[in-house]
Amino acid sequence: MLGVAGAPGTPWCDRLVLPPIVSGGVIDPSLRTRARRRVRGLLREVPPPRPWSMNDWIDRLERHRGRDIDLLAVRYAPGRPSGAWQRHDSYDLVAYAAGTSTLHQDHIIAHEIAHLLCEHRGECVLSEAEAARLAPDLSAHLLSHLLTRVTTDSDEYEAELMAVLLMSAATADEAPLRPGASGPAADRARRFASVLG
Amino acid sequence: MIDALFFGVGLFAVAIGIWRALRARRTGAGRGLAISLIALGLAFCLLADSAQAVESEIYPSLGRLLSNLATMIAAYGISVTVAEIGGVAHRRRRTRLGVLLTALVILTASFFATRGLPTGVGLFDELYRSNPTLIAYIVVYTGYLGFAVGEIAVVSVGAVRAGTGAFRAGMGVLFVGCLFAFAYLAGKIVDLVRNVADAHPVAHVCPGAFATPDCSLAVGFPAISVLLLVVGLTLPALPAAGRSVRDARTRAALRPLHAHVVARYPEVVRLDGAATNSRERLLTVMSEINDGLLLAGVGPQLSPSAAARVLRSGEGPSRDEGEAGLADTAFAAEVARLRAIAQAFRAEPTTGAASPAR
Repeated sequence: MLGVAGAPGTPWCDRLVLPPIVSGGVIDPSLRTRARRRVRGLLREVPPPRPWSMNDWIDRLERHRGRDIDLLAVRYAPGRPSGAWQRHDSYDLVAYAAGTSTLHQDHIIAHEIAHLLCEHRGECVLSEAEAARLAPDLSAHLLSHLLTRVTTDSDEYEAELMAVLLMSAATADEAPLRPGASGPAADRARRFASVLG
Repeated sequence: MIDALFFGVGLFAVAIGIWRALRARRTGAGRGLAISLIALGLAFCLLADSAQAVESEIYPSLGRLLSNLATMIAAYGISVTVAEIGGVAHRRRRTRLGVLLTALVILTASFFATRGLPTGVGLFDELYRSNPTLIAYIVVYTGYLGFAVGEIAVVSVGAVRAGTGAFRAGMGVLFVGCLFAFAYLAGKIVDLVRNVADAHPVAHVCPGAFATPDCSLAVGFPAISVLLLVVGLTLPALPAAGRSVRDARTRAALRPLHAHVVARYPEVVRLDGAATNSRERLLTVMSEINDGLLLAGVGPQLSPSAAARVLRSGEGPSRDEGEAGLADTAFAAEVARLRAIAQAFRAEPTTGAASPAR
């Protein structure tokens, strides 16, 4: 069971996503193209901060979307999902495993944000009654990503690929510009370096 | 000599252009650059003396036309690149294409409207006076190419000022290449004016690329210019290539650990072959190892040797196991952590290892 970090035993949820096994499965090749295009567009609108900080990037993403994203570290138990996205009326909640490295946490968060941006709805696997039994404290109609739905293999594939692409941009070398270089000429040079690099 | 120079520079530009095209396909950036380099390379190959001799058998001086058309397409690629750099690649796309098509049509029409084109090497020196269509040909060619070279020269100067390292060096080389291109274009205009003014112009055949000042301007300078453009546009990619090698080495070092984790926790594998470059492949491997470590109960606070022991034994860590973890978990530190675990994992005796789960 995942529990809120610092509050052992607090019910969070039973299962967030199915183990995304795609080995041997059929993945639509256009998914890759679509994921890459989405990430390129996203990074154009919401560039990764330098030096990289997931919190700072999410701040930018929030401003860009006009909607809050809250991050919540949760205690991880083996066999359970390491991350989750929960959609609320006025904000999105992204949960991630507490007991792992920062880079891995960023990767998990990037994966969940990819689900969020793609608006993956998953497939319905539980009845409302089952969902209510499993999570009595949560209103089932609010949940788009957990409990009542699990994401499909192709959703997981797309989200994971987007996470890898986002983290690739996040860990990329800084633009080879002089310290303090700014203004339109520096912006052009930065884009030129990105085109050439 | 001229053949070797033109084919050498041309094939080098095409090779770099194809590499750029593959990269552009993957990243979505640098399409204009790929167009420019491939077109420039083809322009040079089509203009080599031996190639022109073959092309002339189809139509007199055809090689000159084909080469100039390819150069115009290269100039178009430069304007696409400049738009991309300016962050306005999506704007005025049709206008750019329309201008190119118009220029290509004018060049082709004025070429075929010219009488008495020579066979073999396409030298127009004697024809300007009798064929005003060729004046339009040269003016459109130099104007279109000159504008594109001017645009990239301005951008490269700005990049030299703002940039550092290999990027700055590359931009400097690019700018010098632009200067050689300007000299070539200026030489063309001077040559045109001189031949129009001369009552009895004579075609000058160049025995070598730098045999005379005129030959240098007409043959040597464009070759040097393209060589410098290709080198200047390639230098900034060297640090990324170095990084790619380092990533590949790290991946190799992590391979035994990754193989063990994947065998034990097959569910951590999500992207089969989707990663297309070295960094994406490394991040995928690191993410899968980290997912496996999470499943095995190995946290970042565990020392590499303790983490390796847990992975080998298949049992969870004991409560008093080491706290000598790495505080800094940025990418480089994470690479170091996983490499240390991989090293300890290889050193850990394999006897008594748990069979893979599931």
